[in-house]
Amino acid sequence: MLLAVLSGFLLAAVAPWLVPRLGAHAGRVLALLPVGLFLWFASLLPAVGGGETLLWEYAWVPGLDVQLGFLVDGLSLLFALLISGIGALVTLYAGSYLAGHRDLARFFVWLLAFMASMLGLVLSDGLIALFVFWELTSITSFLLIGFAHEDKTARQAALQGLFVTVGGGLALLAGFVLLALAAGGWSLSAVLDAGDAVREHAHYAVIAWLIFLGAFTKSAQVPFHFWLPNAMAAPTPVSAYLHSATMVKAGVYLLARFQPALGGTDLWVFTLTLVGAATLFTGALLALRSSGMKRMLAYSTVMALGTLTLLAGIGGETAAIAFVAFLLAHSLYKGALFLIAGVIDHETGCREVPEMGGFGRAMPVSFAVAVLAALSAAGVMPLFGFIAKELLFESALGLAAWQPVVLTLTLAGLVGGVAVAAVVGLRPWIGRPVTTPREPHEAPLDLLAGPALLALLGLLFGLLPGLAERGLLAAAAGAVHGQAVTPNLALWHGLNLPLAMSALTLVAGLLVAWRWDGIRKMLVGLGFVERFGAERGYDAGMLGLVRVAAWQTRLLQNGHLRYYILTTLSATALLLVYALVTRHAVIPPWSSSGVRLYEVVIGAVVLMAALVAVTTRSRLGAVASLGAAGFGVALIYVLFSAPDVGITQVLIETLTVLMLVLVLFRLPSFLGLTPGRIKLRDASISLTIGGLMSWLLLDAVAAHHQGSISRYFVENAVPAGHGQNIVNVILVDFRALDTLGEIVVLGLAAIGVYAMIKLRAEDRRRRGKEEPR
Amino acid sequence: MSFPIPDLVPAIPEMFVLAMACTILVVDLFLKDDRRDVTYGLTQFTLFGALVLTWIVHVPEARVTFSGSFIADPLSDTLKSFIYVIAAGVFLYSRPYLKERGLFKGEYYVLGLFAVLGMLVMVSAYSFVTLYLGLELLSLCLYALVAFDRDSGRASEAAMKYFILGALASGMLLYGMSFLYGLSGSLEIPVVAEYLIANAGQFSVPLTFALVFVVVGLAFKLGAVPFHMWVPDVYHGAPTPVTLLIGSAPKIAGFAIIMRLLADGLGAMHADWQGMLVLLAVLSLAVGNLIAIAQTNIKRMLAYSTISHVGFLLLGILAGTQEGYAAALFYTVTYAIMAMGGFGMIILLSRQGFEAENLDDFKGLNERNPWLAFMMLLLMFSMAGVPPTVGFYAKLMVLQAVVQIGMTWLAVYAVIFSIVGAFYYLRVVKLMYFDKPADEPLPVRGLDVTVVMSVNGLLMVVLGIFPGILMSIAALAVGP
Repeated sequence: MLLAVLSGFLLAAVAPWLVPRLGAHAGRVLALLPVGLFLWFASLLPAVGGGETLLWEYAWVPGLDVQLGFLVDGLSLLFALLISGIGALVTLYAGSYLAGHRDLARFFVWLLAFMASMLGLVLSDGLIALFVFWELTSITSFLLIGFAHEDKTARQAALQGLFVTVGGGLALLAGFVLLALAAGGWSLSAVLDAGDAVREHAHYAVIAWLIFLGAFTKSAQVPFHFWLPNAMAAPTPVSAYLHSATMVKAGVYLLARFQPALGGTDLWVFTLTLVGAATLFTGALLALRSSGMKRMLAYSTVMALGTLTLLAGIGGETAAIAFVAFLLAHSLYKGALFLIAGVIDHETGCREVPEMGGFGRAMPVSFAVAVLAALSAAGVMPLFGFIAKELLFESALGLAAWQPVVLTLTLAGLVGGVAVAAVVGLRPWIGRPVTTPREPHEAPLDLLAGPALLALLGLLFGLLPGLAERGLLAAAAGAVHGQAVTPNLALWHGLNLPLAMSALTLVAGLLVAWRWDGIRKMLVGLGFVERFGAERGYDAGMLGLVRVAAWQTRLLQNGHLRYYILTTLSATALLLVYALVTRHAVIPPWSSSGVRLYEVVIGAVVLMAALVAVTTRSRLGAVASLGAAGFGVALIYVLFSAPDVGITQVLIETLTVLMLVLVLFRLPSFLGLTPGRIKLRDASISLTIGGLMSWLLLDAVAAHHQGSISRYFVENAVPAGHGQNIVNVILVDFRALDTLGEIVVLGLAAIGVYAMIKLRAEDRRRRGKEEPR
Repeated sequence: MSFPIPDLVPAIPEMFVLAMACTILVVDLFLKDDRRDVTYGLTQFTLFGALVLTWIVHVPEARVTFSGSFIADPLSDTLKSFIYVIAAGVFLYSRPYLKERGLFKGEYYVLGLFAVLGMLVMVSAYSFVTLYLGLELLSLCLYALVAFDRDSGRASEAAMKYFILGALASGMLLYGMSFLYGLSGSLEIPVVAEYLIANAGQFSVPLTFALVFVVVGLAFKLGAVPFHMWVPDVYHGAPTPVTLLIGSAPKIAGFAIIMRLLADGLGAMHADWQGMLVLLAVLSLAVGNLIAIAQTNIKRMLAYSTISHVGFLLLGILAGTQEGYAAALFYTVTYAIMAMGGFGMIILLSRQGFEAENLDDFKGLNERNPWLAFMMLLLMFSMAGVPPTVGFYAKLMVLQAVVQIGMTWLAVYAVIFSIVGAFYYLRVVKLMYFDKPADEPLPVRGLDVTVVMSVNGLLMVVLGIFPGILMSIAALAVGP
């Protein structure tokens, strides 16, 4: 199993070497791998169809207790078969479609890597592994879109698609972390077993929303639907494979996968049915508005994804069957239609539907395939799409809440769907032949094999629904529903409401298709879609983000050191206040007893000096009053029996004042440049910090924390240091190493200064020599 | 009075680096400019030798020496090894850049080695004095290195700002530590820790001051908001090789002192500092990620991205559990490797008279050199935290640690800002893959640099596919 998933990566790694050697056969040879994988997965059918769930386990990250487990049940097998099967056809197709392209090898690297990631995604049992593969599909798909980047639209679309899907992926990651915590395990099996615990968990809503976010972004649900059509700038095989058959279905895969564990709640049903129905309707509307063939198909894919979300939301047995049937039908016909769009582009050079016409004569096989696929897409009788559509109506009718809204949106959307199918399936082929950039001619076998096979399968499963049902769909629906189901797929269920609705959509859709040109012009005229569309929202959001960022930069990073210091200090003060207030600290009471008069006088002098220093308009005055404050402090030292410190303070103060006076002597007086607002701000910060320090001081005075160290020196000065002068003993004995260090530093500094002076002198002498010349 | 000779064996790597740095300083004096490669070779030899020595003298148990102020334990030896390797990578990337600009001087290597020594001392510090000693040794070397290109006005300005703000923060840290000393009567971290455990639950104002000052000092050194202002200016202003040095290995040393000071020393006050770190982390994530979007200079962008990564790192630490510390260690090492690659790439693309430091300089890199573009893509995805790169596991471990202590809202908040952050990393990828290149030719680089860049980029994926290696190292280092 590990090999099955990794073989794609391995082949991708050697592809750059292999492809040039294979030349024109590259596509055919490389397609052998997905074919082999398809056959291998098909060999698992009997076991899985019998209701078994197969598990493979490999140790991967022991530290995080992450197993690399693979789980194969009906749902994952259905996906694996689609991925490998369509993968094989697309590889074959791409070999011919891009023949002779300069970077063909690189293309195959990403295509195969993508296929392997996609297989890993649907087969993983571990949430982590699932997430890893999930993001890998985003990355490889980005590289695949980037492959054809001559296109200007591709450039704009690239970042958008990548950001939306990767961002949604990160949300999904958070959802997974919470989910694993709620379920008590990191594996899908554990999550699926712990459904009740998850649904009753306190964080259920958060988990569900985060997972929705991941699924909606990946599966292009409203309001994230805009990135998918924009990603259509990719080469056609990529669009066919990633953007219709596989990658975008990852989101709905996730929803279906988690339905047994998370589904069934009001939140789940409401959100998914409403979002699904809204997406269905929006997709149809936008598809009819477009003119590019691929764009129309892209929006109709959005429609289909909405349908699948809707079905995942409804829940229950019928909806589960409808889900898997619709999934299969859509992959078959949409893959075929995309590939046909590529054929038209390749053989005629046309991309816009209104410019097409009359190709049917030159390309009869393509025409037949297109009609077959379009019939399935429209849900016409003997094709598989019909069965899927019937089931969809049946499930929607079974909905308990919001039924009218959902039903209306669904009906309206499906009318559009039929119209799109009719336009795409008929418009290019019938009518008068038009002049095209290239003379239309039938496509080679490699290009036609894929779409033809897919379209024929749609017919086969329609005629013999039991074929798909017995082997696979029953098991897949069982996995979605959470318990075994007994589907009964048939073309004819008698005359009932779903049949009537089906007929209604068909007729209305054909009418719309008939008048499409007019309707499209009318829809294009409705410019409000663009003004209020989600894409506009995305753009505005991004612009807003950039604006906020620029504004913040100006605010916080203005380049001025003084603001940096200001921020640092005020943040520190705020942290202090926060820390003190959260612990309900109290300011200790201050008693004035024991304060002597001259202490009060000195204190008043210092305070006055400080006040003068901040209010005076003369620089000299400010320096002088600062000096006065300093001398006051020195006096306090002296009073509290620290004469040596006092003397040092006096010396320092004198020196500072003198130097400042020398510097400032010639400067003019202050001009009052600082506005009052800033003065207020500065005052509040300094008062806060001063207040905090006073608080600290009061507290420190109130409680004596450690014994005094002076006793130690008094006791040990004579016996250990043999000296009567304690300060002296401290300096030369107890802290001898300190003193030695200081001397060394001073000595080094002196040598440095000497060297610099000497260098300068030499420099001057040299310059003096040079000057006379 | 007797002086016991301390057990010197645990400090042999430090002594080796010191001796070699001094030797290189002298040897370099006698080298002519065209023989400067000898200095470079000796420097790399020093780092390699120190790595070997570290593991020769390594024992599984913790050893404390120098009167309880120096410790060698699995944490220190692991972190030191990462520091050697990353510093070696930094020197390797820098050489062509320095040569082209006439900056290929012995000072860069000697100052760099002393900075490494400072980091080693920080990592092994077991008392406030050693810790401060290491921190200042590192900081002083970095201040000088930022101003290393003397002709650049921007570099001088950055150095000046860095120095003044750094001195302020160092002062605060020292002030906080002096309070702790005054309260507990000891400079040794375990003794302080014991004192705090014995007095747990007792509130005191000086202790709160001590805590706040220590946290502020650490937050500044790491560059957490709102003490981050130096980061963009210094990253931008400094010559890119110096930015590379500042942005990578010192983060590991910073993590070490946080572990020693907050986790070991102030572990008993976890509830108190947790709130502050939450505040810092929340601000760092928001400000770092948002402002990075507005940057057009990639060095500034990476500076803000550093700030946001610091937010993540703090998340792991504030959890206060072994898982949280292991996650933070994992994150730090991962980040250091990513930052090395990111800044290394700027150096790689720069050439004489041209700095590839604007985002636009990355336009169309895929067309000019697909391999380098792919490496940068891996680095950017790793920084954004996208699997299968290692950055994803770093984020995942941190998120798990945060969720485990019940702070779900914080995890969700962090994820929201990771999504915002993904935007600017992905923008670089988009520029490389989708935009048309300018017609500037790419400089031709030596094999060594290209190989290291390839290893650096591929490491993102290899460690991402097998994160177990790094995880078990992190878990072992942090201890049971």
